[in-house]
This record gives sequence, structure tokens and C-alpha cells, in this order.
Amino acid sequence: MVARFLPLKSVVRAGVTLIVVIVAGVLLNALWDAYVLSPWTRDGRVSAQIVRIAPEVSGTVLNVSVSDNQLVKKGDVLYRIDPAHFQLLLAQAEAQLAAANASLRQKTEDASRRRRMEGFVSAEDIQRATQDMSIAQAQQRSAQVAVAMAKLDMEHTVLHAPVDGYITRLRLNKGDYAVAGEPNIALIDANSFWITGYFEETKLHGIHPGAAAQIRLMGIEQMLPGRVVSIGRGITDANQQVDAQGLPSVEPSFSWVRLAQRIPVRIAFEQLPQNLVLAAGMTGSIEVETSASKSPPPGRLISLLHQWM
Amino acid sequence: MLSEFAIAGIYLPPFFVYACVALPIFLGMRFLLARAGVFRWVWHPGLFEFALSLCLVSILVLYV
Repeated sequence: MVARFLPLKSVVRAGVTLIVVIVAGVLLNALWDAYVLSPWTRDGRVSAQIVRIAPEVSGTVLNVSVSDNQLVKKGDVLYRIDPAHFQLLLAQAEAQLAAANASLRQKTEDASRRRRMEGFVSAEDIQRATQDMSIAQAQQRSAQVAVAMAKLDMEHTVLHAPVDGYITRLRLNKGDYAVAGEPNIALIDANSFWITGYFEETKLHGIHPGAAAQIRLMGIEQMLPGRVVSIGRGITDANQQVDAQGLPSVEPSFSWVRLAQRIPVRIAFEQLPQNLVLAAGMTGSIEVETSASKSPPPGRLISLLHQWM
Repeated sequence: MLSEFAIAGIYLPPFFVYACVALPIFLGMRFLLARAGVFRWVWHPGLFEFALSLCLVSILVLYV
């Protein structure tokens, strides 16, 4: 009842409330810039180059020299294919080479003999003998190549690791039939780990190749330094897929709710602790340092909690 | 830096953690403000409290 007759008090009351509301609005705007628009993401995945090793020749696997998840050095033997068949093929090629050598010797002698008897044999006969010699030379070369190929196939029965790496999901056993060109061992290149950050398209403006980044992998307190290598320049557009009649299958979408697409950004690890076990597919959070005013929140509270728990 | 926060296998966004920390601080602040009689000097206590809690969460996320 008293307040009604005191306009000054009413003004102060409204003023205090409005000032707090305005301050809240300003702070919320800053929060939005820092939390939603600055370049950080919870959607990071560790990736690695995977070498899919396929034999160049088909055959039964004689023995597998590696075990699952083993670290192999470049050049280590992975497995051997039974070479018996290829030994026989090599013997056959060598025999054909011997025959070609003998044939060439014979044709060469024939040709030189005919050339010496130039007055007694027809010119046509000499020409034919010379040509026979050339053909025998070509056949000898062909037989030599066949021997080299048989030797190469022999070498290909032993498979070596092309890079330092980890054997993954080994499902190859002695007695399996290895088919040429069909990968049967996956080798994760030990020196190729990087992390892909899937950043919303709204955050991409603050990300430039070469920028420093910080990575926190799930379950590892320590922050890892990284560097932006490149930004992916394409993701699938589902609307581009065509149906059986060649028409694009355009999805109807809501006009109100829109999800920002996520663009993969490749980030290299600057240095990794010795004892860290990295596996392709691990998840983590990534923050990219940016010169723009919209820098991500410091997150000291989260770091503290990570240390405590 | 902000990052995922896991409690018993549930991955929480960092904002949620900040909001959880802000809640007891806000309750304590409201108690003290009520005892100091500040609410006699505000227009809509509900609006005032809401704005105050937003300020608190924003400051926590931005500077802590």
C-alpha cells in the first residue's frame, strides 16, 4: 500500500530488474559466441592409414608368422604361400628357356653356314635362315622374361610388411586359400595416426590450416598438442542420390529445424606421450586456437574435474 | 579447453557440468539476497532470479 505512493521506489525496482535482465542478455550473447560459434568440437575421431595387404599370387597359406595386434617392422615376413606350384612353374620356364637357347644356337649356326655358302644356296634361303634366327632370338627373350616372372611369383609367395604398423583383426590361418588381389590382412601404419574433428559448418570460419589445436582424448586427462593440417572439401549430399529412373531423391525437410552439417578437419598430433595407446576410432574433444575474437571458453573447471575424477 | 565429461559412462556436455555447479551457488546467493532484503527492491522477483541465474552460468562458462 505504501509503495503505491512512492514512485521513486517503483522506478528503482523496475530499474534494478531491467539492468540485471540486460546484463544477462549481454552475457548470454557472449556465451553463445564462445560456446556455439567458436571452433571447438566434442566430435573428434582418431584415424590412421590402413594398408590392406593382398597377395599377388593365389595359393594355400603355408604359415602365418604374425599374431593379432602385433607390431611389425617394415620388411618383416607376414605369411608365406605354398611355393611348390611356383617352383614347378619356374622349372618349366627354365626348361623352355633352355629349349629357346638351343633353338637360337641352332638357327644361328644355320644362318651363318648358309651365308658362307652364298654361291650354292639361293638368296631366299639365306634370308629365311636369317629371319629364323631373329625369331629364335625373340623367343629366347620371351623365355627369359617367363623365367623372370616365375622367379617374381616365387618371391611373391612370401609377403612382407610394407610399413611399420600393427596387424589388426587377423583372421588368416595356415591352410587358408589366399586369392590374388583379395586383401586378407589389415596393417595399421604406426606412424600415420591423426585425429579428424567433425566441426559444424558454422564453426569453420575460425579454422585455418596451420592453426594450433588442443586435443583431449576420452579417458586421458592429458591434453595433446595438435595442428590443423587441412579441411575436408566434401561430404555426401543425400539429395544427390538418384533412383532407378535417374531422378534425384530429394528429401522433404522441416523449414524450422535445421542441423548444421559437420565438415571433417584433419588435425595432426604434434607430439605423443610414449606410453599412450592410440587406436583408430578413439573419440575426443578438439579445440582450435583462433585469432578471431570468438575464442572458446577456458574450461578450467572441466580440466580441474578431469584431474580429480 | 572444454571437453566431454563422463560420469558412469554417460557423456555430458560441459555446459551441463557448469549448470550443475551454478545451481548451488545460485541457491546460496538467493538465500543471502533474500536475507539482505534485496527482493523488496526488485520488480518481478521471478524475472530477476531468472536473469541472475543466466548471468551466473554465463560468467562461469566464460571465465572459469
